[in-house]
Amino acid sequence: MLNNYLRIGWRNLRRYKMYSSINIGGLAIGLAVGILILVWVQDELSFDRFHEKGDNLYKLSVSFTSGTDVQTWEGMPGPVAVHAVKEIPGVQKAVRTRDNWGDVSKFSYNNNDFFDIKIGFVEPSFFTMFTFPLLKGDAQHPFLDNTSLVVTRSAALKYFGTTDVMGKVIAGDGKNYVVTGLVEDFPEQSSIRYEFMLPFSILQAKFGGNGSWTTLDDDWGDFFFTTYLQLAPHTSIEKVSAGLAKLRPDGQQEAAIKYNVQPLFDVHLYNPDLSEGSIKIVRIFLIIAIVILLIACVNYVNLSTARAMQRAAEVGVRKIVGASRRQLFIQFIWESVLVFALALVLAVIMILLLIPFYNNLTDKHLSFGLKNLQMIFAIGLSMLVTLIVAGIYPAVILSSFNPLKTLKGGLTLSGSNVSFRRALVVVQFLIATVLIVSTLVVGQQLRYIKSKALGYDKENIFSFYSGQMYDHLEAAVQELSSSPGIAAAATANQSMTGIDNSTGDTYWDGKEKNESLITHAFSADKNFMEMMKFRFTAGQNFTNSKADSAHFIINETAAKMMRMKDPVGKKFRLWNKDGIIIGVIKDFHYASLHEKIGPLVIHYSPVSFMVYVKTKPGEMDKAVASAERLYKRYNAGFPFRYNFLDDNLDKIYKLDRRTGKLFNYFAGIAIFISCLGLFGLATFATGQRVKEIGVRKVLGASVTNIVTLLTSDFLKIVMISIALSVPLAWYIMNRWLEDYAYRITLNWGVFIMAGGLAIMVALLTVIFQAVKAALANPVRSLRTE
Amino acid sequence: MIRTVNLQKIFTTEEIETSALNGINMEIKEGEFVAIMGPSGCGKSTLLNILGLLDNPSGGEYHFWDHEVAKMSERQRAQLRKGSIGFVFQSFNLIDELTVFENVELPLLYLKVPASERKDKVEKVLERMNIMHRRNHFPQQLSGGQQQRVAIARAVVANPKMILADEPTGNLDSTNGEEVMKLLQELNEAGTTMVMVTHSPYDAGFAHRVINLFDGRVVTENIKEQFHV
Repeated sequence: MLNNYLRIGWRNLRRYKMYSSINIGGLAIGLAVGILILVWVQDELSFDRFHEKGDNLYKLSVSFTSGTDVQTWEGMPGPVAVHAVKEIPGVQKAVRTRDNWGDVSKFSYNNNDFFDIKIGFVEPSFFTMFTFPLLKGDAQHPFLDNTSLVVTRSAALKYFGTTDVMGKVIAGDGKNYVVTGLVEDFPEQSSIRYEFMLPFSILQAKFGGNGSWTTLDDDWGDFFFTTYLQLAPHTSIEKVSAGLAKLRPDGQQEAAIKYNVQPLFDVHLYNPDLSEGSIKIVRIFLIIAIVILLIACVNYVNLSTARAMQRAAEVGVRKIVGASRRQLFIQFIWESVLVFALALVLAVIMILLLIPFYNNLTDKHLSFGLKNLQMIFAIGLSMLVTLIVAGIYPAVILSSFNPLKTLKGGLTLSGSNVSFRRALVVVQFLIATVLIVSTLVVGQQLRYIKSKALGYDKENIFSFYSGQMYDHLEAAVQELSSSPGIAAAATANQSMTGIDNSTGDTYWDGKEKNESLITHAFSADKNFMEMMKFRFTAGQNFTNSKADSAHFIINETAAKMMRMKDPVGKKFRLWNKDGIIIGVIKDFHYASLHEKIGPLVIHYSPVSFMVYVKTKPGEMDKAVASAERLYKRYNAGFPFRYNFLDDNLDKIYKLDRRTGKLFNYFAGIAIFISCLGLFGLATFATGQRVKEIGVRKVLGASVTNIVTLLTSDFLKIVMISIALSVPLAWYIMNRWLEDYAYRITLNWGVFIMAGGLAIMVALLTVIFQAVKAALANPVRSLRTE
Repeated sequence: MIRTVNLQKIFTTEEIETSALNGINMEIKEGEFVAIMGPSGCGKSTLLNILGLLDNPSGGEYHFWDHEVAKMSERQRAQLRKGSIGFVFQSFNLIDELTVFENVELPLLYLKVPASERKDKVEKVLERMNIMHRRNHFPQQLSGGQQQRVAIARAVVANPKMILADEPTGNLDSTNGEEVMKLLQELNEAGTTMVMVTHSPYDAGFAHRVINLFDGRVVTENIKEQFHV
């Protein structure tokens, strides 16, 4: 019987080639794109899941509240981990890590120098808490002393040329390190990634004291260390958080700080303050995947039921010769399975072809193969769900036909069936229109980001770390300023696109007892302020004189938060440095436009480790060459790495741009599949009205009359979709824009344009069939009828 | 074999009620060949559909073998119909996507006859209908007469008790029509009860008995000797 079902299904597909290609093609595209998105989603959701103790591992962060401003830092002071294990019930283990902040800048092995190794300082518990299995070495005692080094398998191959690395010696900034462990490569889905791991005790040994705190484990002032806890199963996170809040140096008052205890599994998708991070994008794409599969299903249902009329006679005959409704239902389900199987084969071919491009687009290394269980799971699930959603309705409709009516040819689909099909098209175009609106809005916001005045001059400026040039920086910068191609040179200690230095150690004239100001802070000189063309709203710039060491320049937000009406001349203290405010500059964007501008204090320093260079117009190459020459004079053997401000800005919006691009593609695909369906429906609808068209033409209807008649039906459906899409798209895009502190406002233009586009696309799709039908000779259509 | 008592059929649309059968009383015995005649719209096909268990009457009784079937559900009727009634239509109603062999095989598939037995039965009936050489052709590749022979093969393959034929020669030329009628006659002579709706007095001549309908009523009944010329 199954043989018979599949045979007739296959012959039907071959006989109605256009119908089959639209149906299978649409489904295949939907499945391919749906599967690709689901695989990406699955990959995002699988981050850090490989840790065996993952359920009980947590990452700490700390949030400070100052007025309405809350800042969250990922770094913790050294003592937190130590005290947490000793004093908080349920905390079993802790590990502190810190990235390499220039502690070791160059490794040398076999006369080769390596500069950009991803290095982490980790405590030994790193290898017992996390599942980073040691291939060689002792997980309990991975480091023998402060010259020990653990390397990953790939790093061993890359830097030593072999995995037989135990005992090998590598020089780091002139000091020798001995390999005491070889660890398996960190999975792609790990939020923690290093190539070399050095003992944390190096940092402890290096600690030079901070006020009265003499060891790193006592220093409550520096929030430098990423800290993870391992809790006993079923430990209450609230209790741990409360326990952490009680940890503070002797004598210190309880501050307005809150420790966040974040499950390790959430680290990749949520922000350190536990708010939603990229989980939002995951959710959006999950919805898009479902929506695209849904559109493909709608096509299938629509085309199958529209074509059901052509199968009616067959159903009638089968019923008369003895087929039960159940048998017919099963037959049509099997036919759906056949169509889906063919679509799946096509989808797999598409995925194979698209994967390199897709990886490039998503910045991932997703692979496609039978070994990839996630992929198989995604395929199986998409296939099953779409089959259930799309296969059942047509099978129910087809198997319900009355055999008598089908054989007499008097069968018409009931009004509710036709309405249902129309409703499906409305849903399809509703989705398509929402996606068009979204694409337009995302595009507008991305253009806004690119063109928004940031409050400083970002043109023709590049920066680089001074390295060992620092010891002679004043003279070097002087020399740079007059070098070929260079218009100006200055120093500061932060990147203009991400000032991450924050402090709450502030005091000012008029500060209330319970008030605090947590502010971003950076050091710069007069030239830097001039180079960036900051606009002063009050006061003046530094003068590069000795007196500047007690001078501060603040931004408008800082003035507002300190409730200063006339800040210039007011006393201010930053850390242990007392001085006065000499100038107020207009707020500028020192981070991405996702973030609101916060308070900022600039303190004077004649030299800071980051050198900024403004090139003369059109002399960029010359300027870079001049800077490189000077850099190499002080940093022999080190590569010269520099970044243009423009490029840095581009980098911080990489994710936004990628999201935008994906949106464009997905929207395009969704619209394309919808149009395929509409085209198929238009073909059937005009086919069913051949006689009517013939009669109308005989009675004097013009080609225009007929085309209008045939297209207006579809246009009505599209108009309803557009009307319904407006509030939905408005809501969705407003939610999306909420993520930007600085954003465009939604306007009617976008909706009008999206509506226009949807109408145009729909018209183009159906007009071909309509014109063809209108031009047909009425004599012929009436005769064949 | 079948008997109707005061059989009624009323078609109801939104605005009008049309009475298609107005109290039909008739009896058809096993092995009989009965023709039903009458002008267009007299209720012939409606009667045939009810007799073939494709439709339910609106009133009256219908005894099929030992069953009172007038009030049976579609499902029950389908069950009873399966294997016991064969149908032959004016427009053949073959499935275009199936070959001659597969079309004929269809009723056996639904009766869950094993594959080897199916093959045997289909081949025998195709031989009998003299269409074996076309077994792998599709219906569109056959002439009208050949298509109707396939349809008859399909109707008899499951060895039904009764064959209902609705104007079986209506779409055929006289030579092919004659051939089809002879086939039906042969089947009847071999023991199959035959009920045929026809406009053609010539075709009716093959029947033992003719029932004439007019406006949904039986107006006359003639046995062969009385009308055949």
